[in-house]
Amino acid sequence: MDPGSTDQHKPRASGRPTVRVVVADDQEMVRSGLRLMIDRRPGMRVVAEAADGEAAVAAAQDQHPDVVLMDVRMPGVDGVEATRRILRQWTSHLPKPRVIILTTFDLDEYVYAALRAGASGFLLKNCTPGQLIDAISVVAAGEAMLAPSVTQRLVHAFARIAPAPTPATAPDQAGLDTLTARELDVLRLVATGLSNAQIADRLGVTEANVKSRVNRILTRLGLDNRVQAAIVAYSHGLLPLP
Amino acid sequence: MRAPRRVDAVVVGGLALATAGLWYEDYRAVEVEAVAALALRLATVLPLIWLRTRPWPVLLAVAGAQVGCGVVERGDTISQGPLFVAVAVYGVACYTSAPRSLRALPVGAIAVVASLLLSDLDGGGSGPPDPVVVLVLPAVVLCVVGVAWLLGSGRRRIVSDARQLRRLAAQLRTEREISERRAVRAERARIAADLHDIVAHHVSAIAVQANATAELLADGDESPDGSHARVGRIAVTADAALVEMRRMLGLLADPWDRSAAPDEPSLAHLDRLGRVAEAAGCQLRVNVEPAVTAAPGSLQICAYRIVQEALTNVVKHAGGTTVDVDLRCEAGGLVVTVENGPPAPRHRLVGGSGMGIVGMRERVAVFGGSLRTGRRDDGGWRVAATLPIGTDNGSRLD
Repeated sequence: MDPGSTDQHKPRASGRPTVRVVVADDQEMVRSGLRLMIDRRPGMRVVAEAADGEAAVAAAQDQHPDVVLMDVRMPGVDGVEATRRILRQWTSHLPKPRVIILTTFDLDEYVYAALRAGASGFLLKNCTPGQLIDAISVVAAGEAMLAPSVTQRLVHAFARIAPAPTPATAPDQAGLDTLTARELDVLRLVATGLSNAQIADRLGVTEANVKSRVNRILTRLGLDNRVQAAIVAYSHGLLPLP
Repeated sequence: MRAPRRVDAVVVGGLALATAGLWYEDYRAVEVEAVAALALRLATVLPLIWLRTRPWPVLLAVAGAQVGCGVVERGDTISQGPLFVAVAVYGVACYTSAPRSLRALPVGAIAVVASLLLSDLDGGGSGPPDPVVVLVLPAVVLCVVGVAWLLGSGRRRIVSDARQLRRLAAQLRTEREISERRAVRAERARIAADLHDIVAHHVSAIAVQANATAELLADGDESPDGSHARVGRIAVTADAALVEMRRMLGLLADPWDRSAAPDEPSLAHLDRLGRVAEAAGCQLRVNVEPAVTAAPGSLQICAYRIVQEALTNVVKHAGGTTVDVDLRCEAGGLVVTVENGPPAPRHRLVGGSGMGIVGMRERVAVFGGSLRTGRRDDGGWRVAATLPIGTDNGSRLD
């Protein structure tokens, strides 16, 4: 491990820059364990730790990491609020970090709230090191969070219930009305967890076509990622709840 | 059917003796007529022994005997019969139910009027009876008998109401016990849910560390004592524990039961509780000693819940008053105190069920602590809970 080095972009063997990670959790055992697993991998590095939400926001704004691992329940400013602040109050010209929620329980209303606030996905704290590293890589590369079935279970569970009051992040019916029928189809397919390649197959168009459509949909609805798209689709009844 | 009480027999016996005595006053002789008069007079009083148990037959017997008196007796003697008829009417009104008992009125009135008229016609007076007497007499008799009926009916209602009230009070007591038991069960479920969360958090941390350590060990050579595999097993066991804990979650306090804003019971969020109380008009002072944040997590949550319940009660019972919240560590225990001043002047009391205190006691008992609640001298209220710190193995976490 590099002790206190200042080189922020250590190139990997493949030439891609290091993925820089901030770890936020109120338990020291968790932070040190995650740091151990992440720092072992070439191409990834923990650049800062935080013990509560406020410190997490400060670390994100200081360090401009690629990914923030955010414990969802912390005393004081919790993970949901910290996620909201990082994503909504980003002032730098550098790209926003992606936030991965860490949680003990998957069917947790806090996790759902964090996803609605713009987190890219979530991980159970007792996931394997492989799953942890995969998630960080996938999310850092801008792709959708893996294990959509797990995310779907969460969305299914919570879309039934009246959503937590976050008017700023909830697109309303009017927004959906501006989408064409074709775009609504694409939205539905995204919500069921299909990748761009799979959607392209289904609709008989190119993957690039699908990618640009998805981005247009996300922008028009003011969403950050596909997970939020899934939440919107279920809570507005575009897809039947199981 | 109830048996006549001894006291009835004694009273009636006394009345019978009095009747006999008055008869002697009237007649002073033992002739056939006098004996008949005595027998009939006694017949108007003795049946009253059974008034409580068989009011209708008694009324009929007394009324009949009274008419008989009217036939036999001379007009210048006054028997006590009408009085006893009135008592019998009272008895019917008291011991039988209302609309039907009204029939006693005509029975009693007619019997008395008939007896008086008969004795008048029979004996003394020559010529037709005084027309005024004929008109006024029934009216007076009816009034007297009517009063007797009203008294009896009134008493019946009082007795019935009292019985009803006693029954309702017993019912209330039972329902209150059931409510308390339910409140205790609900609170225990909530406590279990809080504890479950804490345990799961610790187990998660174990899993993370175990995974990380196993990886680290895997870097080195395969250790001869198999410590790598052992650490790996810690992670697997932690995993299994978490699976079971997630299953348990569904059995505990219904998660969908919470209000729209789920509350994290952390002492760092005491300010949220405070804001709710201040919104209701309370002037709040909160003091949390730094040492408190080093107490075990479960105790901190317990303290939070106590403050939460106490503040709810203050707002409910005292409205916008002064409130002092104090958390400190004393002699091996975490002490939570919530005090409030006298109720706000125009505060309208919202009825409480008292179940909140039951829940608090249950929660404090789970931690082996003590709870004291009581009125302050200035009319306010004080809640003080002591939660002993100090686990069996004498250690404190994090």
